[in-house]
Amino acid sequence: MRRVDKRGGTGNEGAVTTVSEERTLHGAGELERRAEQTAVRWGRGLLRFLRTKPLGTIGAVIILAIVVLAIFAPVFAPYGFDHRVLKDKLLTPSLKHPMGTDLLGRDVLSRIIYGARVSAFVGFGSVLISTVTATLIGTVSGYFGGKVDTIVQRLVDILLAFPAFILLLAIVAAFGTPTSAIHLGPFSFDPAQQRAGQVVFAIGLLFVAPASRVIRGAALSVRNNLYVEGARTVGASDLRILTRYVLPNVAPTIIVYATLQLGYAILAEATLAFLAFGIPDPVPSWGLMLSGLARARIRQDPWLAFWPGLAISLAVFGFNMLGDALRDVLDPRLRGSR
Amino acid sequence: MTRYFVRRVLLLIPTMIGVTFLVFLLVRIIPGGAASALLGEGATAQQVAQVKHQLGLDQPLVIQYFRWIGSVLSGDLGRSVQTHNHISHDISTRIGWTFELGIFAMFFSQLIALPIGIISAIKQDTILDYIARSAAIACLAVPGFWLATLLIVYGASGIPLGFTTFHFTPPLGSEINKSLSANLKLIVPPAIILGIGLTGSIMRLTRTQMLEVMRQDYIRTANAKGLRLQVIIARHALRNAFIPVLTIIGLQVPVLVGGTVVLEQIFSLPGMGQYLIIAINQRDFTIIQGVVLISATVVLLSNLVVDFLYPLLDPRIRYA
Repeated sequence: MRRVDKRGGTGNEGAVTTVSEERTLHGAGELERRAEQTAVRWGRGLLRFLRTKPLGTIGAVIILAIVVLAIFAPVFAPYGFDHRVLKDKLLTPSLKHPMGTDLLGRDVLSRIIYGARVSAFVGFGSVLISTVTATLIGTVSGYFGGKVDTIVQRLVDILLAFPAFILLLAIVAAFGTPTSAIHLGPFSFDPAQQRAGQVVFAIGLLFVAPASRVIRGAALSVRNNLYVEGARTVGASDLRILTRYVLPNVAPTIIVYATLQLGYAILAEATLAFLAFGIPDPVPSWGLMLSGLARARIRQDPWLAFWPGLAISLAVFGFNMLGDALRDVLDPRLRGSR
Repeated sequence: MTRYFVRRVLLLIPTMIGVTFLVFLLVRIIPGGAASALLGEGATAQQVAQVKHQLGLDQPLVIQYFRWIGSVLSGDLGRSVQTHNHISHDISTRIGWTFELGIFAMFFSQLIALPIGIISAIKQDTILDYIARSAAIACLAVPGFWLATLLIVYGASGIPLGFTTFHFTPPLGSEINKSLSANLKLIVPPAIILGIGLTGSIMRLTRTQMLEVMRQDYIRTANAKGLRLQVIIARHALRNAFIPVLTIIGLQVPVLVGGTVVLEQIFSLPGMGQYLIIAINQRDFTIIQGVVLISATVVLLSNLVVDFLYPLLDPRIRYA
């Protein structure tokens, strides 16, 4: 928001000064000083966020924990994710196995920790795809308006007519189950990796339509601002206006929406895995740990049903909490939506 | 007003055409084609060609599309590739289950969400409000399939509820369709779980809307007239707060339809969702095509209903 005031201001003079021009106006020392100020401002903003948004902070901590676990899984996990000791199967939680063991004698805690990798990979991967695509479609559609907007929005209407999860299942079904490794130059992808790619792509594709609609709405409201008009008056090209004025001002909306979508992407992956359409065993997806064979044995050891579900819930809860708090701070316009 | 309704219905046509087009293409982008997917990996080129010919997949896409659309318009969704049953018939026996599950889920979600949302707004920023708001996000976060799994796992051995112990065993195929009350017993648990998933966003929107409405002048007037709080809420506040809530209920229809797939699978309900899962596992692309088309149609029609209800609920809304 502060950015809007600074750039847009009230007059036209603010509208035409951009970073590159500022560089010639001020010396390098001035730039450094500014960078420092920005850092201080960000620091203060962060502190204020921690103080005023306790629930958002909890969400951020949960997400941070998941990301750290995902990156350093081999460090934190006491065993490998597919380390089988058959004589130790279906153990109840103990000091040696804090969350017990599964049907194949694998340590559940280790599988939950490695499972963070799957969730993080699918979550960030698919949301990256959806956000980049939706930003492109949404800003262009909202900024240009008119015929472009009408056509694009009718297409988005069509996509939104499908129940998301059913479309997701249909896309995954259309891909088919990969059975053999494929080689692309120096890289080779085993079936599980191909499936992971399919899941990421399918979820990403699915999230494009709703995200682009939200981003388009934000772009639509930005385009009528005085500073955009000012930029156009002095002859800035559409591309320049889009990248220098529209994009920075819809960025808060994009960040908030992407955060919320991360939670839903993780949930979607878990649901797919639960129905056995996700990444296959032995890759430890949280959803898969609740499904099929695991479920048949769960009666003998109810703990098996508890931990993966808790992990999914915490992850989705974290992203929702953070997204909500970010929404309050960054983009009041989105309040109450969803 | 009539003009708006007519225009709204007419706008549905291009969207519907787009939907059919997408559904049609979706099952035809299968790598290697539906025929080889159907036959599995060991199929010879000759077998593939034969199946393709049987299914009409060797025709040009345009002809395939118009043939398909022609039969869809006459109510025929084609035959299953695997069982050769009429898909329209299969769906007609199954859609009731899904519909029932969806309606009950919606009912339970309102039953939970509206009172809590209202209380949360009236008791704004109290501990009650905080609990309600955290619970709302928890409802969004907890996966339905987890709740369902927990219910089945712990329900079998009995869940102590203080005064009684709740026993639950998922139904067997043979118990289905015995009687209406037996069916209800099967539907209610998954419907509550599905409903809980929808509760979060309805509860949150109800709260913000109530907060907004309670600040309006007409509420102050009602208050000044000496009306009791219950009357103000029921007659003045809720009616106005409910209009945006109706939109989100409409927006949730796709979520609801998606959710039925998972819950039907877990509770072995013979609905559309289960049908879709079976079809995907058997690579029965004509069924996938039919189910996806029907579900998109349901979503479009429910959006239409919401748009039509708007002006009825809120006389202030006038469409040019």
